[in-house]
Amino acid sequence: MFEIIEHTADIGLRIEAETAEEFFADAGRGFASLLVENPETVGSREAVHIDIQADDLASLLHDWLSELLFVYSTRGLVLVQFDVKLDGARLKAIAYGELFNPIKHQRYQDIKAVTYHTLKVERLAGLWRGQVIIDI
Amino acid sequence: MAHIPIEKLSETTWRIPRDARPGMLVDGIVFADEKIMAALAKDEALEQVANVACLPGIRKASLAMPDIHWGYGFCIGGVCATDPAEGGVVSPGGVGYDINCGVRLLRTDLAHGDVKPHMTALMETLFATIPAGVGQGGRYHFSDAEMRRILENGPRALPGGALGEHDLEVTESGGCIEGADASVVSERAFARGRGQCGTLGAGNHFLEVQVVDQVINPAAAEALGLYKGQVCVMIHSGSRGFGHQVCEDALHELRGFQERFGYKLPDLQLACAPINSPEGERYLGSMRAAANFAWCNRQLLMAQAREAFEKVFGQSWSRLGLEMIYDVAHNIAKFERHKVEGGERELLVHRKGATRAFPAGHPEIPEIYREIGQPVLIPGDMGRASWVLIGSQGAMEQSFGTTCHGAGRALSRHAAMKHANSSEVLRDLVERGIVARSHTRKGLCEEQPAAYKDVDDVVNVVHEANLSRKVARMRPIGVIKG
Repeated sequence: MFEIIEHTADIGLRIEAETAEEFFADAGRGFASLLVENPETVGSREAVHIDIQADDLASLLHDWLSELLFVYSTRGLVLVQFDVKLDGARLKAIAYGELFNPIKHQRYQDIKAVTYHTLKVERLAGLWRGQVIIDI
Repeated sequence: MAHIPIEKLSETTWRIPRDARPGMLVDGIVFADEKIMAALAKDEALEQVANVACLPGIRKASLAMPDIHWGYGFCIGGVCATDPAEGGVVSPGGVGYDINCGVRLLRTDLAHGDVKPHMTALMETLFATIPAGVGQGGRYHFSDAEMRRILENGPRALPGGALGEHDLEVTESGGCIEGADASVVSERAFARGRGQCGTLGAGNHFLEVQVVDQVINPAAAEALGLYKGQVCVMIHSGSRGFGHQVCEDALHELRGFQERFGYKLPDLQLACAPINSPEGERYLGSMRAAANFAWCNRQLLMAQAREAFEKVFGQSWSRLGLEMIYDVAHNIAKFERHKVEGGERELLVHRKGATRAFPAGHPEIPEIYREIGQPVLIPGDMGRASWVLIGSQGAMEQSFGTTCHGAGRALSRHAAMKHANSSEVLRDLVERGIVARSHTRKGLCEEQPAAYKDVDDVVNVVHEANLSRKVARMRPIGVIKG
């Protein structure tokens, strides 16, 4: 699960899940809900393969969402469904979504970047928890 | 939030002493009045002023302007100057993601009465002509070779027709910071920037048609070609996805910077590298490329605005007097000469939501304004006002030639939505005589006047502190938002 957190000039996501795979998939869904107001209307017509590696899990969360932003801002693809596999701090995923369509989808935020501000990922009592602030 | 000790030095100046936090190399100085200072107790902006005071090679003080609010690493409204000869660093966070976000002001020969009957048509035409909104592409598409020329040369590399005869003369740095290096810019930045030059974007970016409603300094206003009742056009935008990616790439490259350079800084978002290091030089080369891209963006936005005025009024833009008054950057790092202990030094001045404000006589001011001082453009919110100021000597003495950049947000976007819905916001704007067009009702709602501090309060502080002096105030009559 994810929730949106408020910041005076910006916005963030808090994510909590039982497994690492769910954690990153939830982060991806949370991110989609910042791109479009009605992510439930976005279909899974196209698939994108993502393969990224980082030095630690917090950086990996940052890079994962940055990758989704890059796909959106260069190809117009809103990705909403995720098959994630995690091996240490290497993430392989197939992400599904469709081209943004102004008739069907409602834009939400103009996202500039995923920041490192208060970025964290931790495992506590069998739960994966994390938070990330997005510059809008 | 930990309490930061702060002492009042004057009605407009406050000091965070250097011993307030371990690691601070200089004091923090905040320009604010009592009201602004009281509001700051709620967030971590003062903590960030103290954190920036820990940056290696920082000179004199870590500064914050009265539009200060919480940012990433640096607060918004933050200014710091680092000395390359003293191991000074460059910090991408001291510039921000939207490199060379800035403001451009155009004058016209039209009076409010001339445009009033045409306001709806004018705003519809501007709205149809100027690409705005999230991810909205534009009509200009540049090849990689063209992009490289733009990145290294700024608007002078733009195709004919987009550039008026006097535009570059009245653009900060002539629209081009030397030393831009397109070869260090990533393919990702090219990919994000391609097709976005000449587009407004969303968020707080805007194009406004404004009317001069107060002239405070008639001599300076006359020198700028401004008079009461005159129609002006203000454009606020930056380097779009291109600049965001340049910043992102630099922060990525600086991962592990503390261990690499032996720094001990309190916040990872203060990632930095010595100015004289391969990482520092690469960032500066790409940051300058993004700055030049941003000047091209505002140039093309202005070209499209001029076109819209031509369509509506049936005359050429030059006959309508749509000449540029000035263009300022408010997210940038530049080498400048400043007096510090030990004489005049070349320092790297980071301005993160802060505007250069050089006084009369400074060699970097265009000749036509050299006697009055550099024009400073301060956008407010879409309902109240924006300001033109001029730089003053006090800025050279106190703030590395810098003043504020805007009103600063007071409410989060969510709180703004709760404060008034889009129909209420539109009704309020109509009552104020403002024609507003936005691609999303939500965008309009989030940017409503109540979401911002009153720009008049912010401008009063910089005027009283002698960081810059008031010239004229404009109120909006037409607004375009993404």
